[in-house]
Formats: sequence, C-alpha cells, structure tokens
Amino acid sequence: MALAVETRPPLRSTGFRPGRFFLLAIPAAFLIVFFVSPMVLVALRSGEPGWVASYANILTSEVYLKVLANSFRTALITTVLTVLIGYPYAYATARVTGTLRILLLALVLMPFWSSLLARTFSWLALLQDTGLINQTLIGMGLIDRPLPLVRTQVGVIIAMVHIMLPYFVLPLFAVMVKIDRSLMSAAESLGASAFRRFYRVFLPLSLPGVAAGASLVFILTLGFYITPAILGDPNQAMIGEVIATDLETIGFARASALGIVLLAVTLILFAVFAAARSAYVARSRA
Amino acid sequence: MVTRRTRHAMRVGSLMTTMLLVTTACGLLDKSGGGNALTVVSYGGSYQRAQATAMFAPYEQLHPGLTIFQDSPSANAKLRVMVENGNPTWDVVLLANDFGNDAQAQWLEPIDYSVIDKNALLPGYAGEYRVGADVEGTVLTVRSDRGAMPSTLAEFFDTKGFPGKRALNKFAAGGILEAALLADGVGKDQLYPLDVGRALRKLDTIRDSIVWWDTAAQSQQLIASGEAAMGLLWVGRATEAAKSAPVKLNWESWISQDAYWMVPKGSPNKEAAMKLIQFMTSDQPQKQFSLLTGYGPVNKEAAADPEVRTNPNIPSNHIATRVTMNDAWWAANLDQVQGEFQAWLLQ
Repeated sequence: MALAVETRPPLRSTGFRPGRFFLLAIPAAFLIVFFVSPMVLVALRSGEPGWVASYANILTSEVYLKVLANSFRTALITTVLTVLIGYPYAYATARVTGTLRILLLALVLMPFWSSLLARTFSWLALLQDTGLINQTLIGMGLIDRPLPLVRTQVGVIIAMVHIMLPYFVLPLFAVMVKIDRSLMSAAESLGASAFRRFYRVFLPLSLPGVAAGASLVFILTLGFYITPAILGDPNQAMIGEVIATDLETIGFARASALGIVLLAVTLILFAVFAAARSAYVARSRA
Repeated sequence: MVTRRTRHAMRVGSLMTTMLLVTTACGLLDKSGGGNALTVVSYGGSYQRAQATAMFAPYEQLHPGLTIFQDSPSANAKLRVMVENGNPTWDVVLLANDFGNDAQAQWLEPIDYSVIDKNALLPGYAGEYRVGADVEGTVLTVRSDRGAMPSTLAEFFDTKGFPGKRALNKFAAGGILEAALLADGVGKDQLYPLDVGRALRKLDTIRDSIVWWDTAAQSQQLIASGEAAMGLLWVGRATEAAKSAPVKLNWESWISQDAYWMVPKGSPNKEAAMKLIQFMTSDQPQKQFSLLTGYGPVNKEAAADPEVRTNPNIPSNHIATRVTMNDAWWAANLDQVQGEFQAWLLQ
C-alpha cells in the first residue's frame, strides 16, 4: 500500500487557483441542496416528539433493536459472501484480456440493466416451493419436500449477493488492472512461489479495492427493503422494511429517528474499521 | 495543459449549466399552477390506465383547454410533505382507506358537497375529507385444484381440515386481525375495538402456514403459481389470478379496503379538483371503470346497472356480506397496534 501512495504523480501546483474552486462549487452546491439539507431536515424531524423521548423510544424497544441486529447480521453475511465470490471473479477478469474480459464484465454488469424488483421476483420464481429449483430437484427424486429457499434468510442472502456483486467486482477490478505486473515478476525472480507472490504482493496491493467494494456492499445491503420483504422471513425483518412501514403509517418523526440511528451505528462501525485499518498500516510499516 | 483560454471557457460553460439548471427547475415548479391543468395521482398500473380511459380522457373532452397531468404512485407520506412545505403539486389524490379520516384533516381540503352530489353515492363513501373512488375489498381466494376448499374464514384458519399455505398481507391494518377475530367467532358488528391479543393468538394457530405478501403483485404471483393454496387478496389481484389459474373468489365474508379521492390542503386548483371528483364519481365513468377493472362503483346508479350486477366478482354486488373496516378506530390506534404486530412477527 505504501508503494501505491508513493507512485502517485506529484501535484502540479499547490497554489490558489480560483478556477478550480469555481468548478468545485457546482458539485458542492449539488451536494448541499440534494444531500446535506435533506439529511439535516431528517435529523430535525426525528426530534419532533422531543429528542430524548424519540430516541429513548427506539433504543429501549426490543422490536427495533432486534431489527437493527438482523440488518447488521444480514449485511455482514452478504458482504463476506460477496467478497468470497467477487474476489476470484474480479481476479479472473483482470487477468484475461480482449473478448473474454468484455464478456466477464458484461456478465457482472447485466443485473444493472434490469430493475431491482424484477430481479427479486425472478429469484422468487426460481427459489419458491413450486419454483424451478425445488421442482427440478423433486422431479429428479433428490428430495421429497421442497428446500426452504424462500421466506428464509437463505433466500434473501442469495438474492442480495447476486444484486451486490457488481458493486464489489467493479471497484476491485479497477484496482487490480492497475497493479504493476512487473512486481510479480520481480517477486518470482527473487524465488517466491506462486502462492507467496499472490499472498505477499498481489493481495496487499488489491486490498484498497476490497475495502472500497466491501464497504459499498455493506452500506447498500443495510438499507435493503424490497428484497428481504419479498424473499425473507418476517422474523428476520430488516430496518429498511420497518422504516418504510413507519413512514407510510405512523409518520416522519419515527422513521427519521430510525434512519438517524441506522446512520449513527453505521458511522461508528466504520470509524472502528478505519481505526483498525490505520493501526494495521502503522504496524506493517514499523 | 490547462491554458487560460480553456479555463475561461470552462467557467463560462459551468455558468451556463447553472443557469440551465435554474431555469429548468423553475419550469418544473410551474407545472402545477394555472387553472387549465390538474395533476391527478393514483395507484398506477392497469388500475390507473382504466381511470384514464373511463374518467380522465372523457373529462378532458368535455372541457377543451383543460389538461390532466397524471402522476403515480400516490403515497400519503409524499402528500404530507407537499402540504407541510406549502407547495402541493398534486391536485387530486387517490389513497387507501387508512388515510383521509378526520385525524388527517390537517393535510386535506374539506370536500365541497355543493359541487359533489352526496346522494348519488352509496352509504359511507361521502367523507368529510374524502370521496370514495371505488368499492374494493380483501377477499378469501382459494385454489380449486387442491381438494377441499375452505368456504368460511373459520375454515381458512383450520390448517388440519384445509392444509396448504395461506397468503396474507403483512400489514397490521390490512384486514388480517379482523379476519382472525371473525374466524374466532367474533360477530362482524362486535369487532371494534379490536382485541389485538386475541387476534394474534388466533394467527399463532396458522403461523407456520402463513406466506406473507408485501406488494399486490406478489399476492397474485403466490396464488397464480400455486405457491399458496389460499389467501386473503385484494379483489383486483384475485380476479387477475383467476384469469390464468384455477382460482375461486369466496364472498361469504370479505373485508372492505376502499380507495378514496382527496384534495391536498392548499391546492391552488381546489375548485377544479372538486368538479373533477364530481365527474369521476358520476354514473357513466363509474360504470365504465367498474367494467374495465372489476372493482365496484361507489355511484348508486352505476352499482345498480344490469351489466355491473351480473358480474359475480364485483364487490359492490356483495355489500350484504361485507365487513366494514373502522377507519377512525384504525387512525387512532395504528401506531400502537402496528408495534404489537411487528413484535409478534419478530417472535
């Protein structure tokens, strides 16, 4: 990782350039209008019934705490599986060239071209008791009764890993193709075995891509709403479903407070993650 | 290389982009204004297409120069935000029976019954803040290819006599608590205030056989594919499923789940909105919409029309066996009951 930082070209100039600030003003204004201000409004609305009452209500409610725990557990499992499946896929895509690479990228991008709802329903058609997978297995005489693939956490995770793969593979692929192949040759010439070359050279250099992709997947998965609602077990409800129901029926204050709690817990987790990461970097440099 | 000239060009370019964005934004804001346009919002899909055919298009023909803009889907959360921000861009909104009660008066214009003919409507559809759009309901829907078919709600809750999965709406105020209590022997006039604990205990007895649905499309898919042997479905989806699969609707006891037209508080076009609602609830549009969709007319004359009467699955033909949801009770208790229901789901 140290190498990656040092090979970055130096900035041409660090002087004050009004033009650069002007160009930044547009995206900054966009973010303030469409991201920061709604966020502030949501935070303000969450305190409508009284700040203490509003948050105490959530943090002492068994229902909300259980749903929050479900959400983080499901997001964690989905992220781990996405990393395990996505890493070899990104690696293969980065190693091959030409038509094969285009094909591999197209395959992973395909889900982006159809709606989330359509994909979720397709999984339902495949996974349900009367669906393709169970009927085929029963027809072949391999099982007597359908496997519990839907209305369980299994179904939710299968669908979410599928939906999340592009978000992991693409950032990781971008990092992997930039890794200097001559470093691997250098390691080889110094006598490193194939496993050692991968483990000591390639893997550490690809870790920033893994971190970027995995955090993206984790955050997106936390907010999932329709997929767990359709494929999951209500016993394992995720926070997105509860926020949506509360928003439509009870009102903004509760839904906003739930959103803020989710945001706060996520930020705390990421702060812990970042601290652990910099501790690791500091230790490996020492 | 970034030269001085290109930097200047970039600056001019971004300025122009900003101006373009600002002017487009103004153009968007302008859409709701003007007396010659109304924005109508409904559920979307084939339902709203039928409303466009039976109601919006004929109304535009009757009023040259008036344009009806459509938006979908409606959502009470969105309506509330628009009203609270003092800028409702929706003029006429269709929402389900959990909204538009006196408890939600702060977001709605009172209905002007000097424009809308109250006497032309079936009883119960002329509210202070809402006018019925059609008669809908949650109805017992059963696959006819699975042996014995339950014919009452009590049998629907008997998993021994009538095995198979049951599709139910995962929404506290979606009629399931009422169905459970009716199955448990509570009379349809003694339902409210709901004994939520008793209803949940009754639901416990079929818990392992329940397949929950969150979206109407999902309910139709569950029954049409045979994944569920029976269910409590919205009428429109049940009749849709019956077109492609061996599915029967049972009208022995069904639970109201109506749609209503409302006008957001502060709508700049409320007079025009009331006139449109009057037209949409009059006999011809109501009859045509009912024949297109299979939902019941709220207009008395349309409901009595022979063509409507002969269709066995139009809800307005079964008013006698209808269990009417107490929307006012729900408006007052939804928060509490939903919490209890969610806790029960997580058990």
